[in-house]
Amino acid sequence: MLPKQRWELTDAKKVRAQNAGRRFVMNLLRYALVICLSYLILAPILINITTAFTYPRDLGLSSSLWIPARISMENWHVALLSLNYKVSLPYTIVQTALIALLQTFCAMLAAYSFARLKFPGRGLLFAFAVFTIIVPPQTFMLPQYVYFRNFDILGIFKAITGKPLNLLGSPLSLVLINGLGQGLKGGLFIYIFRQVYRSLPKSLEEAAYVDGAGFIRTFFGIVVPSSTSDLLTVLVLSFVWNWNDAYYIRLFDSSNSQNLMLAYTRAVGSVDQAIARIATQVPAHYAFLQKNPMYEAAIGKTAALLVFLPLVIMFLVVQRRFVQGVERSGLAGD
Amino acid sequence: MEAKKRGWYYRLSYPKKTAIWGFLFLLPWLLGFLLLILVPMLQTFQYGFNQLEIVPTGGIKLTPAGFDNFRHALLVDPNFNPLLVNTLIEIFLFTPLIIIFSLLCAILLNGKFRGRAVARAIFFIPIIMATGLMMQRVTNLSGQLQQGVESENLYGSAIIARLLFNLGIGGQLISYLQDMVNRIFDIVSLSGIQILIFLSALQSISPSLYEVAKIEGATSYETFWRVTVVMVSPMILTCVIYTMSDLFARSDVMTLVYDLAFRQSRFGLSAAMSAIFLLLSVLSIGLVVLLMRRVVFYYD
Repeated sequence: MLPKQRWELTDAKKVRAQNAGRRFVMNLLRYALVICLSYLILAPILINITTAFTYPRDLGLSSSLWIPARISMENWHVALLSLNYKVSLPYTIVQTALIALLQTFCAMLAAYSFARLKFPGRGLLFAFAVFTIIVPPQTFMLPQYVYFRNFDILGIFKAITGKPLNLLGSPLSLVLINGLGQGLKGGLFIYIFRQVYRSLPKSLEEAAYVDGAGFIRTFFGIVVPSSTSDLLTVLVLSFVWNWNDAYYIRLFDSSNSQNLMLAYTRAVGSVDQAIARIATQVPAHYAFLQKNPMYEAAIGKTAALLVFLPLVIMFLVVQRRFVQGVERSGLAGD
Repeated sequence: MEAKKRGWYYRLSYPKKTAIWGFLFLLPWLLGFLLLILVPMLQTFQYGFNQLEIVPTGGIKLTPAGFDNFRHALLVDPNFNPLLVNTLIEIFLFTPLIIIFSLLCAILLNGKFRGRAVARAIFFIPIIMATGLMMQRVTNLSGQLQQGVESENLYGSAIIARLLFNLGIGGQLISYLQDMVNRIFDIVSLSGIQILIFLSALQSISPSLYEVAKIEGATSYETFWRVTVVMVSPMILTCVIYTMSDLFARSDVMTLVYDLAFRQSRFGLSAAMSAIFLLLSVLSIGLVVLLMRRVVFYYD
């Protein structure tokens, strides 16, 4: 990106003008690209927002392409009801936050061990951790399903109740799989934290040890506080990915009626039924729109925005620190 | 007792203590790995060689079936092979595109310019929408509709197609190009993390390298290929691995496997397909890593 410097004895003014011209062209190019790419990213979202605000009978009119001819909140109303938003939103926030915390915590501990604490077999185990990043987790779905269907710890539950525990259909299976660090992209988080911890100056931890701090105290008192921005990065990523994930919850807890993502999948799977379920509360002209694909798509889009909205708010809150964290983080360690 | 125990611990050498704590810190993950990854992986293969039934009380019943499931998956099932081939084609087509796109974005965002904060906020949006059904909803469904707002036309691919047709370019090529344009949102939405990784890598390149290049009279073209790309190359490898595994996990094969197991209760066949897919993904990623290792530059 740097302009070429010429060291020949030319007129200094000429060189300066040349450089300025080159910089201007580069900047123009950069802005053009940035604006084009921003459009690529934003256009589908903006279209969705427009559709969500369009009066249901106006859907599909070319006059309502970018700015709705008649603005209405009816789509929002129907989408809110079909997602059961009032219940599912707080439930999903708590659930996802819990999962993200557990996953991050487990990844931190494992990563510190991989980065600093030498013990025999560590290299091999780290290779296994990388392996978990590469393998598609869905290839284990059947055994994992059977495992949670017949959950048992060394036969304890079988001895007490006569049969193993069925963890399917309870959030406990998700808690367990994330608490043991094998949730969505768990391997990647270990990898990130390991890079971060390896890049910290070792002398800090040595000084703590010399001063008599134990390993736990060193970790929580020194290592964790000096990598808070990376912690935030991983927490945000974990939250976002788990929020958007429908795979694990569908596999282990498919009857959960309060999870937002599942509610969304269900509502979008058959908008018609979803609306029929809330028939008493929807606007009267619904009969006209029944089985209208435009209308179903509009409700789907509005519902998608509703699922997406909490993430946007969270992202706006942490955005500044998140970006800083990414820049300094060990995402690109060695 | 307590004092004695402490005494025992305190007499250990530092490396031994490290080893003990290293193992303890790793314990939760290790447990999870053994119970939820390693054993299930072996079981996937085991199930593949059996006919599996899920007994209503919860247990499973296995009847040995030899290679039947694998034979059925590869030779009889009409969907599996085409999906597998499609997945491979898509991965080898998309991965380079995603890498180039995300590197370009990272370079754009790395420099100083007015409005950078806004641009960064926008470029990170794909990360929030990264996984799951969200994106499909935003892009696909609207494309299926006959009239009104179509995402297909959002990027003007129809106009481009008409333009190319008027230029006398064949229909096949046009449909391919049109497909690429329509897929561009997929590329954008799959590039979130890669942009982050590259941005972070660009930030960590020492400015002195650029100074040297400048003093030696390198053009910005040379500087890009000889400094930026080389210094970022380890992260290119990381991104390639990540992108490929991400694409494998999103493959339609996984949907087929899920449907076979949980809609049609053909568990053995589903497991066999999973096993084949697992081997395929690990092998192809391994191959790419081996090939790329030669060109990656590690700066120590």
